[in-house]
Amino acid sequence: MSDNAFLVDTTKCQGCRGCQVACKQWNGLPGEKTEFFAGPENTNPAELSAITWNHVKFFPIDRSNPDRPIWTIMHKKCYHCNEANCLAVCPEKAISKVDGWTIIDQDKCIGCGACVNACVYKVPQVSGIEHVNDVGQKIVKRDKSHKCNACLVNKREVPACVTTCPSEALSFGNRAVLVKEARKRVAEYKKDFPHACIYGLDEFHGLRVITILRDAPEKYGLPTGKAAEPMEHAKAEAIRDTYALLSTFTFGIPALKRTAYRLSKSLASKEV
Amino acid sequence: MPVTRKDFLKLSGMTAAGAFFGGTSFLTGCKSYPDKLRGAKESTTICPYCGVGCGLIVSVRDGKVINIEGDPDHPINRGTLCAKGNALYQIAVNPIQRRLTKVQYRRPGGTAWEEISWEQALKMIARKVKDTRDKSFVEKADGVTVNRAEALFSLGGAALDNEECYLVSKFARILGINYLEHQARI
Amino acid sequence: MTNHWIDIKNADVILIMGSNAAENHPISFKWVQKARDNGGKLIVVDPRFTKSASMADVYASLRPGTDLAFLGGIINYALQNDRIQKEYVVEYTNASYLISADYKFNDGIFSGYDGGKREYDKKTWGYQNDDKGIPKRDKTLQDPQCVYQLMKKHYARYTPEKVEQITGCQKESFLKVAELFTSTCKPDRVATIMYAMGTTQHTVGTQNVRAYAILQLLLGNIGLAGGGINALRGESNVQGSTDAGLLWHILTGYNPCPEAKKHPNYEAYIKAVVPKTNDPMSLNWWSNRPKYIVSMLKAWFGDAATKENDFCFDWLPKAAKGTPHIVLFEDMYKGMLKGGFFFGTNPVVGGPNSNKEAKALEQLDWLVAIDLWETDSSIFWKRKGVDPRSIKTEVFLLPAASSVEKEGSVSNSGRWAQWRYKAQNAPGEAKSDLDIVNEIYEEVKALYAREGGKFPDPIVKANWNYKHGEHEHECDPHLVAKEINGYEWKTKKQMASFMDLKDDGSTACGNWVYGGSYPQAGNMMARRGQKEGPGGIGMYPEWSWSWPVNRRVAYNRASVNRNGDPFDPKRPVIKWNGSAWKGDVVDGGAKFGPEAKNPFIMNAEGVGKLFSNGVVDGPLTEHFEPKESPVRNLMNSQAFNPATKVLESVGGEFGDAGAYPYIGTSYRVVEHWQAGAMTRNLPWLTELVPDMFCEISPSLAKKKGIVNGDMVRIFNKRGSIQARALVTERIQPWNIQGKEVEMVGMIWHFGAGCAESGDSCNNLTPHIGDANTMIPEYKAFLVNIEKA
Repeated sequence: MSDNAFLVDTTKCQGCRGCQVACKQWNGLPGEKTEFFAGPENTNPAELSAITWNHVKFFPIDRSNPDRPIWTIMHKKCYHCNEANCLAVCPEKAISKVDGWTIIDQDKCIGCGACVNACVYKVPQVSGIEHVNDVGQKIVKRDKSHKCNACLVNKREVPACVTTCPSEALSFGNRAVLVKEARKRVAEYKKDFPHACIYGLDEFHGLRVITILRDAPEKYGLPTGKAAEPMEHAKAEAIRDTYALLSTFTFGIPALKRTAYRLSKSLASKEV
Repeated sequence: MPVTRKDFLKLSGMTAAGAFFGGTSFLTGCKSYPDKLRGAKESTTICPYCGVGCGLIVSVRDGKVINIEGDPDHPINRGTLCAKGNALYQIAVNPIQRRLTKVQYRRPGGTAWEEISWEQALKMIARKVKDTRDKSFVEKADGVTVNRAEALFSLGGAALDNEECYLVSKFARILGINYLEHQARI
Repeated sequence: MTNHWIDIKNADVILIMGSNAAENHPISFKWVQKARDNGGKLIVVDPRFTKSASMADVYASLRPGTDLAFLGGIINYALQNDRIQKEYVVEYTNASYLISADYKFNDGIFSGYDGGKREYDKKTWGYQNDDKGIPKRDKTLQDPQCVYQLMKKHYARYTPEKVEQITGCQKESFLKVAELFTSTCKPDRVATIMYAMGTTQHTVGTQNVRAYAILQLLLGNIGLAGGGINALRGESNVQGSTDAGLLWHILTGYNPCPEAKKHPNYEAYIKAVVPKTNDPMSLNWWSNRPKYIVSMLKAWFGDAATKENDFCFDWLPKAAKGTPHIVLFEDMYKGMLKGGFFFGTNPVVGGPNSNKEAKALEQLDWLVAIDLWETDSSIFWKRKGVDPRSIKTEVFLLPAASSVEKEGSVSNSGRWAQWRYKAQNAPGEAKSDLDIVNEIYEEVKALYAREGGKFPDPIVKANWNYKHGEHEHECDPHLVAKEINGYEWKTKKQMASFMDLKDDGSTACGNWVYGGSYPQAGNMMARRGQKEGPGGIGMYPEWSWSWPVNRRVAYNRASVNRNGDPFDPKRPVIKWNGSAWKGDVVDGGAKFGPEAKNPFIMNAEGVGKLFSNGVVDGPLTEHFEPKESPVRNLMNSQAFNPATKVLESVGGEFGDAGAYPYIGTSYRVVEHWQAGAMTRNLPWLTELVPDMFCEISPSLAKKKGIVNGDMVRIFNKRGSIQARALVTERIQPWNIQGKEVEMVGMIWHFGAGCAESGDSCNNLTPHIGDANTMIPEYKAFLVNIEKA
């Protein structure tokens, strides 16, 4: 198993969004139709989607220290949790760890959306339509769940987002080495930003995308503590069982299964 | 012995003393090579957007561009690119097919483009250049030989290659154009 | 750029002012970050808290159009606190030169002003010469007429308090910037300045750049690694297109275009454009100018160019007047122009007062637009609000090849000419601009050969052959590149450099500054050598080719003292070992040692000009308000630059702060490029920024009842546009003379054409420009705003 990870250093990000486009270029993903800015400041689209696997979020400027306003710009993609909720709840075993990366097997995925519900980071998304790239390959299939695959599908040594990052806000390499580097940087950043921290050391038993932040993770909408612990086995099992039970009434036909799951989900949400 | 992409590009960059200039390479079957690009022909280019001059590698299969990304050997950008540089592929292969493929002509008072042939267009343009030049040409003013084509102008060039800019400059001046300007002024 | 992109890593202090490099030159930040990793500090001075500002160690906000007050303040700080590089200032600048006793300055006006013409007679801005005709100097810098003392007096008025009152930048922030920037007065501490159109697009644009030059000369930062003044060019080859002379006032290689009044013939031209000096310390490089001009004429007119006919000098058009972009469009508007060409340019979005420029196009009989796409400018005849049937202009839109569909070179900001290759065929029937120009030329030539006409000689006798055979369809860019490089006329042997050019017609050279780019050995621009080169300062001398003569740092002679030792031994650019130079290609030729010649070889005096008679609007810098300003000038009683020309035809096109109380300014974003055709047609980029938008402060939004995302109307006397409002804390008003001054910032990438369209910001910008260059004042004008 590879020990590799990504390091995202928000203090170095200049917001050029090279990563967001490089990912689309390498993976043949289409552009999204947007209007104005869907998120704060220049953020667009609002979040990750089935055809946007890398996302740059621009937070509103923080003027609490008038001498040194802070504009945080954060690269986000699948965090590749060591203990991933998406993997735990997938009733079709379509999600697995490949070389430590969380990968969705497109042949097994039935687009039920269990992973979408289970991911606290809102990473995987089920595509409503099919996307064919310019050389005719089906890049994003309809009714399947999609997200960053760490450039394991269109395989390359260093993922496209990292290759393209001009200011070294993104790096890729051995996780332990990157953690050490992150600790060194944070010690330095604390001089200017006393709450600077590393996110992803322990969340979900360690993330494969670790992020250096100038302030507490909550400020950037990142869950910590209990909210960032893997789902209990029993709960994951229950979710899987529910989906599995439903599937016995659908004769194993994916389209029927999907409809049943969606129905059950909407019923469940009504009960709450 | 197969060479890696990196080595090949280095090789092709042999200095002035070498016989081989340029950055075109043909790569097949290299082991560490990404599948997506296997068997593709590669050449280098320089980004057409801002003035930094980043290097990119263009991969071509069956005569069509299939990938464009930063050139890792380019000393300025070392493989990195911004959003625009990464989008260059969509100029080469424009998914919404807005690239012009034929000469478009709009006649006086016309409400839409009409397609005409190059041959026709060149003949019409040359006629207009000549007629306008001949009509507005001033050979002498206040006793000074000035040789000006006063009603002609040429604008633009900052997105052209040096060789093209040079020809535009030469072309405009030999016609007698003084109204010669481009984006550097604005 | 005097230096180049990688060299930014060598800086101890980086000042980004009048540029948002993180956004518009993103990869430059790779090297800014490297400098910071090495302990360097980044200062960003900008009206907005930009992406560049977000990376800065020190940020200062200033009101648009007040750069000269801010920079004057730093110059004053340096002079008052003796934070200058004394040895450099005395030896390599004109600080010690004595200025004419008739030079005066009073209330914003320098001596020699003619208010009726809005022009200066620069006679009194000259030096006092000794009996040999060499400028007098006082190296102790005590003489009251020496440049140093004149400057000290002039800039004493720019106190930190004054800076705050004019710019709105708090005194403390200003002083932080001044202190940090002038800390590079130590010989081995170096600062660089990265600037772009935020500096130049003002009625005082040239003086803004002058202020940078003055500062960098005082601090001894020009010629050194990590130093210089670096104009960040916005287009991939705007450097090369300028080198090629695509401007009314220059031929190739920065030789002046002949003007009928000043240069009635070759002799008068040479007399006027070749500077003279009696100073033996001056190399006076422009004394070589006749070689460059004659060689260009030989390259253009070949056998027809002989000594007897002044090498066909009179075949070149002689300008009747200056015709910069604004004048060109005013004349077009008046109906004086009948037809012409657009080579990949889109003035209906990019030009100032673009409503008027679109209307001007209607006056043409014909227009040839060459582009990859339909642009806003090629469809002016079907823009909103006009009836195409009433527009007579014939339009040809020729499909062009993109950068990956043709072969040739482009020159980046750092003067590196880099070769690129053809990867695929252009779509359909599209052709390269090279082939298009060539084919139009051939057709025109054939017509003149067949029918005769007005003065056909320059056309039919031109030295023009870029195909390998008559039956070839395509031009060979290598043949053009070889002509640009230059060759011996008789033997057709390629020149090694411009050092070999002659003024007797025996050499041909299209553009002398590219001499050496394509010698006998081959195409230097295609080189990919990986060696970092001498000094460990990232010069990469074997990568591509840099003009002139592969020099990577311009004015590098100024990086060493009179003994030839580098001022900054850690980052040496060149070094004299007693008999030879080591390092970069030394400026001014290798045969002269450091004691023999002055370093600023392009100036007739050989030293850097703190005090300059090379500009039309004053030998020293002075703050004036923009043409449209919400406040009065506190520095003097002149409203705007007294040497800026206001064309008669634009007289009624300006508004005042009563009707239009907010400062309008324009800028770009990383996701789009210039007038937008190259980005608004790409779905990956329109995903990121799909609409025309403006940025306003929360306080202005509140006052106007605007919330984030609202459609707003922005208007002034020249036009009215709609945009989405981004309400952001990154924009803050300034307190100027007791009133809150607000700004409406707009991107200028949008127009009516292309896949994603929107209103053009330039409908609002004025037809007025810098006194020297007439670059439009895009960066400070007046508007009003309301919810749409």
